Amino acid sequence: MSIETTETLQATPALRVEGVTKSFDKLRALDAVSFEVPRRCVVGIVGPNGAGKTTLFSIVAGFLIADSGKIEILGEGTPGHPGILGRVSILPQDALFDRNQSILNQLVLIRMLRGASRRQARDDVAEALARVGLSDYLERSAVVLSHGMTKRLGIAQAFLGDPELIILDEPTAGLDPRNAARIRQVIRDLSVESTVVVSSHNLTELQDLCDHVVILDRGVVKATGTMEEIMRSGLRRIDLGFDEDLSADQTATLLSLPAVGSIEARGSGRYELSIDGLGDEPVAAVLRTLLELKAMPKSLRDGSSLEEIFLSLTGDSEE
Amino acid sequence: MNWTHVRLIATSSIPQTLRSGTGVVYAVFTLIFGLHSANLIVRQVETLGATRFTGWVETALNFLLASVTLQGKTTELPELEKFGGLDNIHAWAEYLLREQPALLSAVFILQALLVPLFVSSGAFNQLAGDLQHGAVRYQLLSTSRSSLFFGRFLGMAVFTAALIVALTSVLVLFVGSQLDLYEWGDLIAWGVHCTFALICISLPYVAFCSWISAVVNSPFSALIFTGLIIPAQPFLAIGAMNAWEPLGKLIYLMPWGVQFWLFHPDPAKVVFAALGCLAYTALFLFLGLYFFRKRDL
Repeated sequence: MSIETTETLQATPALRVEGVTKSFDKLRALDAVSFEVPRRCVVGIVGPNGAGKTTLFSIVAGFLIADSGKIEILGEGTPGHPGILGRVSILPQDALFDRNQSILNQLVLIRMLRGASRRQARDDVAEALARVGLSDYLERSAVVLSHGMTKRLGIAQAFLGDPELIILDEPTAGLDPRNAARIRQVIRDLSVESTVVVSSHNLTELQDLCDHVVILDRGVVKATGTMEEIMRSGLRRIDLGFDEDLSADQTATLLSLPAVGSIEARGSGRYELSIDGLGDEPVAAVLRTLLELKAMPKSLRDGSSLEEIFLSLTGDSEE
Repeated sequence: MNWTHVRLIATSSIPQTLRSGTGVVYAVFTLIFGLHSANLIVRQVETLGATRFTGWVETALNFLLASVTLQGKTTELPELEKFGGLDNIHAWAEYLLREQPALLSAVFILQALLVPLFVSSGAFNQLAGDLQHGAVRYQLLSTSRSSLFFGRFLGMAVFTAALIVALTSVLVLFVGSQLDLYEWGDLIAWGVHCTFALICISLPYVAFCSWISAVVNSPFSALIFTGLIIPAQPFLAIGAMNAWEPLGKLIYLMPWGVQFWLFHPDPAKVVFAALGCLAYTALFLFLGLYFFRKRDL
């Protein structure tokens, strides 16, 4: 399934990926991947393990060189183009900071490479570390940081200098809930002025955070578009559980509702309803009808999630 | 390439090298072995006497210079009646031992042999460690691969030059204070020349290490490569020449066949050798940068 995105993409996207292919020996990690990322929004890259997300990010960042295809960043040029240096940042996956230098020195160098004076760089680094709760570690070596703190440090460096395009490879992986929430808020704040491309296995988080989404599976783009387009593309389902099975009349009444496409009995009072429409209203209509029929569900699960769509698109992929 | 970035990366890489321990080992190794070798020579002068020592050094120098300039098969050189048949080599050795402070010449020629080994032990990890751990990834969207490569090279070259200046300064002071054979003015003038020569010699080897370090993902592999190739290359070339004379030209794969001309009495040859070292430096940097820009990180 492939959904072409035509809406809301601006004339000069923050990132344009065209037919990018990359192989490692016989393994094709990316196969003619194409999509565009509009400016000033949060874009989620979703895919199972081995889908090619990190490879894609590495190519965009210029760490890896694509076998074929084209990447245009900020309308300027390919990765490594002088016009984009300092305007793009990345939180790479599994990259370590130098254990032999203080955090301050490393981040000051990165900020100075992005064009700041030493004094400005020190101020910016202090502010960035404060945003991720690492102010106390300014003069320490990265060796003393836990995995989660190292992740936050990586995120802090990605924020330095307010880059126009920020690429975050699993930014909340390994973070406790409080810090994950803090990082999500920072990403939201940043998206006012910057474009943030983020990958995560936490699909609920991405659904909440992202304006656009690209679903990648085994190196192929399965779907791309705004979150609303993607959500609309999937068949919405809700699971209902009752103490006993519904009667034929009750089932027929539910089927007569415009929002209900089909009803499948799953046994032991459980039913799966396909729902046409977004938002709460279709589900509310079903519940009102059930109330009138005196059939109160004991459980309800709304399957209209990014996860459902993701699983339907990548169902047979290995996790 | 952005020269501001090159300068920033170079200046930050020097303390990074020192804190990593590699730089400390490099400095200690260079200074301890450099001074120890000088001490051995001074002790020989005290044991043998200046005249006998000079004669011994003259033979060694003749053999070394004739070998590295491919004047004949090493198996035949000792039969050339102390190289009497090699007038140019004889005059060269005479210059080093009679016109310049002989002891300092002996010490500095020895350093010219050792500096490439010191460099291979200290400059191997310019990029390899950061490539292995991914630390360069944090800098690569803020600067270009060229700036990163040249910045690391420049930092290591400056660090090496500072080490050489420290070493030669101590050597001149050591020789001048231990033996009352030479005027301080002569020692200092020859010391300055030899410091320049040793810095010229170090540059291509630092560049060679930059190249290896940029294409190998492990500091240990980089150390093995540089530590084996740099010292083994002249022995292989000279050994190959004994088997088939044209193979001796293999010595020019690295600066070994050029670097000793920096101690030649003819200023034109010194300039030629300095330019040769710079050419090797440029070649190794070009190769290193070429592969660094093409590779996946």
